[in-house]
Amino acid sequence: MKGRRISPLHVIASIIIMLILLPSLMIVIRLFQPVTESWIHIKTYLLKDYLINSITLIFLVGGVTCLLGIFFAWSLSRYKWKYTKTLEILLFLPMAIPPYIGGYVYGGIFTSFGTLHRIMLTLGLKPIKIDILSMGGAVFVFSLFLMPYVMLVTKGFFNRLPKNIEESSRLLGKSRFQTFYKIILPMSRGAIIGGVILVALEVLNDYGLVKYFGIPTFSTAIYTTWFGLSDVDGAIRLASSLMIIVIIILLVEQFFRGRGRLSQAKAVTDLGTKKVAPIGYKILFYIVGTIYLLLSLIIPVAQLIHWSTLAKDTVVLRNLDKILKNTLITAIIVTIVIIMCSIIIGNFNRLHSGIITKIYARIVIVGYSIPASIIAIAVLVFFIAADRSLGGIYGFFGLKNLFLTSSVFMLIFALTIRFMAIGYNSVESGFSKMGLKYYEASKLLGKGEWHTFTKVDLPILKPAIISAMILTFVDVLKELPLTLILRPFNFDTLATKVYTYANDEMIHEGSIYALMIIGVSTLALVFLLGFRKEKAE
Amino acid sequence: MKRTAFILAILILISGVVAGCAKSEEKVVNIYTDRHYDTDQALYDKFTEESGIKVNVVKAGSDELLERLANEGEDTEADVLITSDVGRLYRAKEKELVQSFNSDLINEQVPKHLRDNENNWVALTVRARVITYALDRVDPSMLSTYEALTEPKWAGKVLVRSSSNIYNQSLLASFIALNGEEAAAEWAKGLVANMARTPEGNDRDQMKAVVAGEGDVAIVNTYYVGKLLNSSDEYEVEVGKKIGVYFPNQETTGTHINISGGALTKHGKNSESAIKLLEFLTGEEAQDDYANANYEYPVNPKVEPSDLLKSFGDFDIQEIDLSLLGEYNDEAVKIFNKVGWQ
Repeated sequence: MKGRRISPLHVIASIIIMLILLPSLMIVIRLFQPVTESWIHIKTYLLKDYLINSITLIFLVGGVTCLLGIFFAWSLSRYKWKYTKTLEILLFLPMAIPPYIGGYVYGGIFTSFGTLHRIMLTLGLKPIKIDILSMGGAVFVFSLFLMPYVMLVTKGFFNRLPKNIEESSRLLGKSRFQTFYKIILPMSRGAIIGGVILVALEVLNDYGLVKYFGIPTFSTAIYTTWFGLSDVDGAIRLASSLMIIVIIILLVEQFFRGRGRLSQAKAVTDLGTKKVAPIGYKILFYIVGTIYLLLSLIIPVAQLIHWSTLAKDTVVLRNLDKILKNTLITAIIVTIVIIMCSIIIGNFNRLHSGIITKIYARIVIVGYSIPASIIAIAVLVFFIAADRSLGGIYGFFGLKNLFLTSSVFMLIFALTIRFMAIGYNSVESGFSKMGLKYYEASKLLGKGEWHTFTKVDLPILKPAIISAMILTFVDVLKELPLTLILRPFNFDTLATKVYTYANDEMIHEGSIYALMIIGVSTLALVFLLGFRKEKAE
Repeated sequence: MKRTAFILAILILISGVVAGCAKSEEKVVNIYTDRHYDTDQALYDKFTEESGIKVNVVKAGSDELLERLANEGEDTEADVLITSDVGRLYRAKEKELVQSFNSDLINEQVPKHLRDNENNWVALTVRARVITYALDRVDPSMLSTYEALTEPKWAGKVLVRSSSNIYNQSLLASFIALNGEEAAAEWAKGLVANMARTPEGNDRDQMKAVVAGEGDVAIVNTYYVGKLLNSSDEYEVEVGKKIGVYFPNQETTGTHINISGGALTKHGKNSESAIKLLEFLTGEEAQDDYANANYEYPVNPKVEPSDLLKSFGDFDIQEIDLSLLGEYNDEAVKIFNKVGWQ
């Protein structure tokens, strides 16, 4: 590697990171503004309880998704099942249901005169009352619909873990469980934590579900400051303190993870074949799998279908083609941009590993910890500033003053920043498993950077990239606050339609669009997973 | 290097697509609104049909829209701001995001108390916040005022949603305006003490809980009673039939109302079209649609409320300057936090 000073890769990676960081920086800067009166009010009356609620939610949801996610990931990556691919798609699909919609669905099922109530009445039973709109209910709903994040990230790692490690352990007399507990789990810690972090951030930035469930969290404090006390600066200040806490936690985690890092250069060559699961395990898998799918997919979809049929006369499917087009084009463009950026930053980090790059890697994902509306404001401020400084050029070309701000550019940019965490986490886990050996071998054989990248690195990374694409695509598909605030005139997506109905207590009408999100996600999953299979053979 | 070229090519492609979207000159009016109803869109379509003016819409939360408007400043494209809470219109006026306008037609179509005293906004629809009660358990003669709900006889029987809901905030703000901060705080405290459960769910859920026996009375908006009674879900209609609507404070200060309203943005470029739109929306035809499609009370006195709303009966409204609901909003939120109304 001659002239390792400033490669184009270096420049591009830095520019991307700067762009991603700018809006977050604009938020963090507000931390240094004088304390407002509402901040004191929030601190006195709300902050403690709301923080406790947030932390409780994160730990419980993190715990449940972790257990389920690891279980499913391990089962799918190690054992043979009938219809593995279908199973895989089904287990991913709950991700396509935004937690707040899941919340409405379960609210609708368990509420007085809800679906359960009616079924029990029809059966001649006395209706039981389950208070779903509670902390326990929130943990239940979040866990159901966020589990796939952990599964997806962890499964990618398990798939690439050489089986001979397990075989050696078994040969040395350890039981299956001991092997898993003592060897596999510690090795996979990075990937598992990566998945759980996504879940934790998702819980942290949610506002829709906790609002409906009446569980005030940190997001509630942010929005009370903004909406209730009309103090935007105070709200941003709260968000920025949250962000700082998250950065610190992530860096500490990264520091500990860094010490146990393994470079698994042999991983791809030695995967071994999948085995048939022992009968006890099989039974467990079928029971847990059935219950999970029932709760996270079959029941919610059935409820949504039922609601859709109720709304068939009242719902207005105006401009459906345009809505679908907007949704798809946005999701596809954002996914492509995120994957490209993730690969560039991931590759950069691998080649120039050091303190700075580690900090880069963590900071890229912090934007995900705070409610999207705050990010939206930061992006808005940034774009308007950009537009104003480009005013002269616009004038020359006869463009309007807020050319970028009023275009779909702003939305795509914001979505990219938002979901960078998701895509990047997945791509990074691919890079970290890959190590430098192949790269160096290729370079030694006289191949150039680009050649090495496309012919050596990219094929190895493919599974990680596909996971990243699935995650980002589905996430953009269901994204809400950013699209709502930053969209140009007359720009609707499936998610904004779901929201606008659900928000106004018209969940029946909204469920049709929610089903469409699930439908589009299914198609995307089938397409992306099929792509992986075909190329693997 | 190929990579850089590739990225550049994509960027150019995207900018091409965006530039292609640039519109030619035509008469338009651009709306920022936090009302999401299909019926509103239908009204805009009707307006376009009658006036030839194209309507463009961004729908989002009102506070986010205010923030967007504030940041866009002079360059904003928005001409009209519509919100479903008078407090937000007040905020927009405070932040000088809207301007005063004068239209004889609007002044004629909308009574004075439903317009801003400096003509910065005009109401489009009215919603009342009422007490609903279980028909089988509660005799309406037991009910009188919002204040009476804090009496011991209602202990553990009152249902209401969380204080993050804007209509609860404006209700408490109205009490601050009418009775002062201390009395308002007393009321909030008393109500929390009488709650049947920690606030959860939306207005429809409160009424369902009343019918299920979790409590006896619920504070909700008339608008949602209408939605319930006209639900495509027969069970919801059942629930709607089992509750009564009571207009509180008829002998005293009147029943609390909030409005949806429209305003002209300060830096809008199409003010003429914007006023035309507001004139249209407060006109008889549009008001009739609002009233019948969405169970809201019309603001135009020439238009009758829907039959359903009429069946609830006539009522006297709180006689306060609606702007005060905005002015005391922050204070109301603070009281809620202090008394622990989640």
